[in-house]
Amino acid sequence: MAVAGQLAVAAVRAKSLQPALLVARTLGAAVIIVVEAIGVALLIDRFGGLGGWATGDVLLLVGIGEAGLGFGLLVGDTLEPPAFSLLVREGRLDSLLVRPVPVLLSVVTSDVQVREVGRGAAGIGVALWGAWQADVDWTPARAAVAVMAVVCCAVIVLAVLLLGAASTLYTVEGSEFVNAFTYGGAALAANPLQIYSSALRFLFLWVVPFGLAVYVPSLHVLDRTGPPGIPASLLVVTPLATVAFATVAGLAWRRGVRHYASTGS
Amino acid sequence: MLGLHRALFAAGFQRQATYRLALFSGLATNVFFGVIRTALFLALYEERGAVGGLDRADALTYVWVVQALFGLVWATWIWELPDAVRSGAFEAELTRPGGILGRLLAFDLGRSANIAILRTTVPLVAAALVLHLRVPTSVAGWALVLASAALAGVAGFCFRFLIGASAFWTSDYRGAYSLTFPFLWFLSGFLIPVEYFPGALRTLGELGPLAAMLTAPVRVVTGRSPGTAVLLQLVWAVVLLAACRAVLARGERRLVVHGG
Amino acid sequence: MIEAQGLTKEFRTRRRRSVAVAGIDLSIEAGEFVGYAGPNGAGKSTTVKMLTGILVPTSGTVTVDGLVPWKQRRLLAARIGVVFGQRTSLWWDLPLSRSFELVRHLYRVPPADHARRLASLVELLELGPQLDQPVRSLSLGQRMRAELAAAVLPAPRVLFLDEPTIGLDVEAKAAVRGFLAELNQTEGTTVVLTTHDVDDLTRLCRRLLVIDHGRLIHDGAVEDLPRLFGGHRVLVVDLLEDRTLEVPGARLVRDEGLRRWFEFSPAELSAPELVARVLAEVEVRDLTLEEPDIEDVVRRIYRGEVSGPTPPPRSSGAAPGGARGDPPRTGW
Repeated sequence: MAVAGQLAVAAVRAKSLQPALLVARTLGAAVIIVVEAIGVALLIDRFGGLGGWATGDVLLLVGIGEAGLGFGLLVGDTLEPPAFSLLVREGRLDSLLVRPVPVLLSVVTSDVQVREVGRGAAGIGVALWGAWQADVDWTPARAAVAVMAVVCCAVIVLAVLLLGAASTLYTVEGSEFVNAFTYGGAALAANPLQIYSSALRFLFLWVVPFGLAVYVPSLHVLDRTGPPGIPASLLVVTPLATVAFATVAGLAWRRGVRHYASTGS
Repeated sequence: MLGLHRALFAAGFQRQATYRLALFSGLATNVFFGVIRTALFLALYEERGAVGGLDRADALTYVWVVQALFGLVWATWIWELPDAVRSGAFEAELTRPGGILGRLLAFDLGRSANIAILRTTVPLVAAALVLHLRVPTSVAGWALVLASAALAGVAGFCFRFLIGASAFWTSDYRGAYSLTFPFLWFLSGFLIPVEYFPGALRTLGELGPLAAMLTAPVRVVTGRSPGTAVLLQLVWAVVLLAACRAVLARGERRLVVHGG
Repeated sequence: MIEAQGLTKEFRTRRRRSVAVAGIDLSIEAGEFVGYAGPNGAGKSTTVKMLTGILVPTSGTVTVDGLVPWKQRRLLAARIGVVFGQRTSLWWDLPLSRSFELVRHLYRVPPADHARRLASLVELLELGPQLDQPVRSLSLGQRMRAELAAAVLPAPRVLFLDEPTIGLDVEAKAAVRGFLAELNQTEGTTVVLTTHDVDDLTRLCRRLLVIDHGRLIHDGAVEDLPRLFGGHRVLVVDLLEDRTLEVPGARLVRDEGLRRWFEFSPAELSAPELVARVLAEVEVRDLTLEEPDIEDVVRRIYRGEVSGPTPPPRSSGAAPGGARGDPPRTGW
């Protein structure tokens, strides 16, 4: 674990060699989220609500989703399709495999996308703003639920990236479909689930559980009841589903590495 | 000279062809986002007729025009020019005869055209088949759409050029972009239609230079005085190109005087 | 230290099957300095990958320091060092000193040991002025010395080097070779040097394995190949007109159009002397001196010009312990 810390610190140091650029990028990432939130607020205010949800309610969803995405990308950026595919094609994976540490650790710490802290922090800010607009009564329980939501969302993002990277170990090419599930997943989770078709709802509740990570906890924080089929009591499933999904991703990765070791590059 | 530009256009077109795989899978992400935003607007318009002068069909069409034009306008090769300026590779352009801007534009439009064929048309056509979108029904209408798309490409080139031209003066161009992009993206209507903006912001969005990239094309597709919209794009294209020319001249002078 | 029997690697794509390594037997004792040579595509890198655990063999057995590489990769990784010639394992944008620091953490080297070893390595490899520079700004020669230092810092038992001298100038090559020789002698580190540079082999290795098309075609002490490494060289003569040319002291080995290849032994006849003899005979357009390359070595082995042991064919179930440093087996 200490090794992981050291490696991560080195990656951050490498990024900090151009501090002005790093600050600008981080700020820029934050600004995008804030601008997006303003857009959402403008939109829903104009329409007077979205599927029975007020502006503040929706902003909470946006905030949690983006925060989760930000922190997930912070850690998993080296697994994103173009970067990881390049890593494999340039043979750098071999150099990482001869280290006496788990290869995933080496891959993940080879770069840390510091600017995503901007997205993460802005996401939290937007969530708080939404909660304020929605007059949320912050009890310790609700706060804990919100934190768990962000964490689960981040883990799911990481797991999606891991699955994508695992597929790259087989095909060498990056799978851009990964982006549909990371950025797309957060975008989908930014709206209350009842507006989506049952197929989409199923996909994002039970297959790639963004809905469980963002929507269901938000029901608790906002003290709302969900639509038929998505009761707030699903909250207990959230951590379980997240762990299950992450486990599947981890197994796929292991398989992928084994495949890579059998076929070479 | 036109032969050169035609050749450059073709070269640009060919250049994008090498990114085949990325093209297809990027398409998947585009479509996915389109689906999500469609669901959003369907829900928003559930009990409403028109908001900001746009009805449901207008809004849904907007969603898919956004997906169609996004790759065209905010192209992935935005850093090539500034990087070339910084690395000194751009000097080669300075030693060639003729107008640099024209050459860059021709090449860029070639690349955009390649993207347009798949990434722009497929989502729009697919959505038009499935949903009730408001698209032109006459040949003239589609001709205007083509013209509008081309002008959007020109406007996109100009904005990218102007942003990238900061490289002539500073090496922090990426940082500058990071900070300005969110506002350009928002104000040009890529997040929500400019028609939903309050007061003066709405006017700026509908008539200002950024309108040439998205808002005007949407009007052309949905048939809200398309002729005027194309005219607006044309005017802004000319103005923007003039601005690019001026900036380029300044930039060239700086390069020549100060070196790379 | 390293034992392999029938080590095989087959690559299967949808269309065809290619055998990169076809049943290699080898046995390397601790402290040996082994050269692993062969033409491009012969299977050297593939073998090394199997020995270091990043590639799983199709069949055969292999152990390194008692561990099965592909099964116990991380455990083995802590005991070996690997230097890839073409790729870096250092941290590109950060100062060199930072890379050494990270190596210490990766391999859990006790701080006191680390400090001592680092100081001595930096001195030995003359890396002092480079410590504060980012790795990306180092020249190839400096970087290779840095890679060596990083690989050796955790005191590995085995050091694998994959074409480390490629692209280096004469001075840098000498520095690398000097260091490796020193390392092997003073620390007893087992070294497996993969190369197709013949000079690397003559100057460093005591034992030579030659691989071609996936098969081990030679395994024995370097001294067993006097004709090859006794410093024969080739003089290439471009004539002005086609004619027979005989030069005492040199042997014509190839003849194409106006070009003649003459092989000679500098021990018996110096290069300037030979050139003088050629020029005395005939007017030439151009003359070049060539060094033997690994293809020559392979060709000679196939022609049977090499005396000394060759490994028995795979299928014969080689007796274990054959090549372990016992006196060389003769033929098969």
